[in-house]
Amino acid sequence: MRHPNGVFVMALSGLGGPEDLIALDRPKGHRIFAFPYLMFAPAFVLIASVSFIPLGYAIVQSFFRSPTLQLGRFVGLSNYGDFFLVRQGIETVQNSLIFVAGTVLIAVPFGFALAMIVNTPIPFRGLFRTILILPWLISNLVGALLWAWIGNPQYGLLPYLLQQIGITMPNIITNPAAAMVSVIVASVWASTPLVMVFVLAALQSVPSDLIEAARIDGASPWRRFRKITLPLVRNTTMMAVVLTSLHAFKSVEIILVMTGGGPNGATETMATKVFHEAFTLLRIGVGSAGAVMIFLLNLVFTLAFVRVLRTEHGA
Amino acid sequence: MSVAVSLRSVRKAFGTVKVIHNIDLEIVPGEFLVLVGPSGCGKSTLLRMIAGLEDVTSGQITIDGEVVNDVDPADRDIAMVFQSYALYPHMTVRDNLMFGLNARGFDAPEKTRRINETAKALGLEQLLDRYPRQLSGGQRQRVAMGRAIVRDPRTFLFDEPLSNLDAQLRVQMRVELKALHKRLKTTAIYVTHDQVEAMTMADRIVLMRGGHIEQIGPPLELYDRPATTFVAQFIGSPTMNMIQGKAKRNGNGHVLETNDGLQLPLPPDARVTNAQSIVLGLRPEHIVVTDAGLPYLVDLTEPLGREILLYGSLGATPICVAPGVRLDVEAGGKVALQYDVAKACVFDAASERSVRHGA
Repeated sequence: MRHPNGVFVMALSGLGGPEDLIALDRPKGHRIFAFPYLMFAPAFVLIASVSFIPLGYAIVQSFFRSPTLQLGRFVGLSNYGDFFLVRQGIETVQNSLIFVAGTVLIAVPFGFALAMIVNTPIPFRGLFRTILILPWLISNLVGALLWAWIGNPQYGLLPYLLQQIGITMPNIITNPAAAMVSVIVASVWASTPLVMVFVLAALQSVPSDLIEAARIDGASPWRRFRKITLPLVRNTTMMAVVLTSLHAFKSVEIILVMTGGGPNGATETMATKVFHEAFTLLRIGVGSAGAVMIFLLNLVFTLAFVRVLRTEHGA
Repeated sequence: MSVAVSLRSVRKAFGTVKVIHNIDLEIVPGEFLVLVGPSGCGKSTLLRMIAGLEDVTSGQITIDGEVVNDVDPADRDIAMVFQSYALYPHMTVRDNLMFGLNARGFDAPEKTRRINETAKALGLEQLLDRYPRQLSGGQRQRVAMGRAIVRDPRTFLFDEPLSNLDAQLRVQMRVELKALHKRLKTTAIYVTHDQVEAMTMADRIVLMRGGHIEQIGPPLELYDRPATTFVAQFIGSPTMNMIQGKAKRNGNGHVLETNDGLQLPLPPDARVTNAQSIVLGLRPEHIVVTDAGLPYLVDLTEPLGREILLYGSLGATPICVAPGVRLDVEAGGKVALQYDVAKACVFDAASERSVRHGA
């Protein structure tokens, strides 16, 4: 069919091959397949407007000293220096690592174990699955408030219960280590369901035939888990590790609500420092520099992960 | 004669649903036994019970004289080939074969020897370092078979191993499998819903229906002397013609009189009484087209190459004729039929059981 503009429009006959796409015939004979780009455009515009444009603006802002969202004076890389060197900047990197590692190292094994349990035919399995997913459905803000109340030194449930059995719980508001533990606990609570859902889906996609074949082959339950189940759910579990890490690295609500970054910066992470710099101290440039660093670190981490996955698939 | 696998009063229920009713069965060493039947007849469940993948609700299963009801599948010394092949997707062919040997603690030289031997026997030598996803359907099937053979078990269990292959490959694998069994002489229990597979491969067929055994016997016995109308119609293609009517005395013997008044001779040894409702079973190849005989109206012809099948009606009863040759008969034509009375089957209409052949 010849299009009025002198462009060939090929028939849309079925799906799959390049012949199904609208092709624009160029004089030199090479074609641009416009159809996929047209389909892709609305999503791209949406994501660009809420994600790429603010990101680009943050990158620009990170080179300026601006008291408001208007660009101020160009200062080169000094905002980056300020972010890391002033007001316990390096400690925030360390705190971020502790917070992320704590969350991932507890939430992933815990979520994995829960997935294994709710994947076995136990009574009330559906009910357990629903209850265990709830923390994921509740906003992090509400979750953080709940944990702040539970752990509150004056009227919290946990210090009270521990007191009944003779244990004095460290004060999560004044004790730096206790404060960090408390925000990690809340973060684990919020992250575990995601891991559980991921791993559960992967476990359910392991064909029962394989497990039965391994049983007949004489493999013990532990060997079946290690040699059959685990390799087959490994990639999905790794994906859960990455998502949990990225989320924890960016997380601000739990820490802001529970400790506000305190006591004395003990729970201030890079993400909460970005918030404090930009919105409390109104140092938009320094905050932007921190946000850009978080973005870059996450990007490197994600790319490294994708590369690892790709190498393994190619093997 | 010793017994390799025996089932005594075996029953299986899933909750309140009974799927296997009181099965008794003995399999002799080296036998190739085929469990065949329509979907849902319980044949796969029975096989899985022998494998130990399903519990036995009541009754007893023994392998080589040992009661195995509570023995783990790993300790039954069986190997199973699954319909899906169940190859471990993250392991190479070599590791797939190795897995069962590792779990059983063979030493390295023995493992290598067995894997090389099996790979050679099944033509897998070039594929040992490939992953299952890099193999064709037929190759995967062979690997699944190899994984069973490499362990040299007491009994092979096959759960519809050929149903995922295309028709041509299925015929080829059928022949290979039979040759393999001849060589290894290991007891094999094979589940299929395909009666052709059952007929061509079995030493004995167990035909199941609704959790019961309908008939056990060598393939040709089931074909020639079916115990019930169900067996008669399940075994054989095209299926056996079934003509309903009543027995009527005629001289010393009986004939079958159809509702539309046709009279068909019955074999003299058919144990029928006057006016008994019966079914006469005629294999299509036992009917011949003649100059004089029963009036037959041809509705349709089906050329198979070697012969042309005729589909038509004898009075009100649809009948298929397999003349064995290419007859020059057109659809719509009228011909006369005769049949080999000695080879006819006779069933009681109410019980559906044979009233001939000593049943």
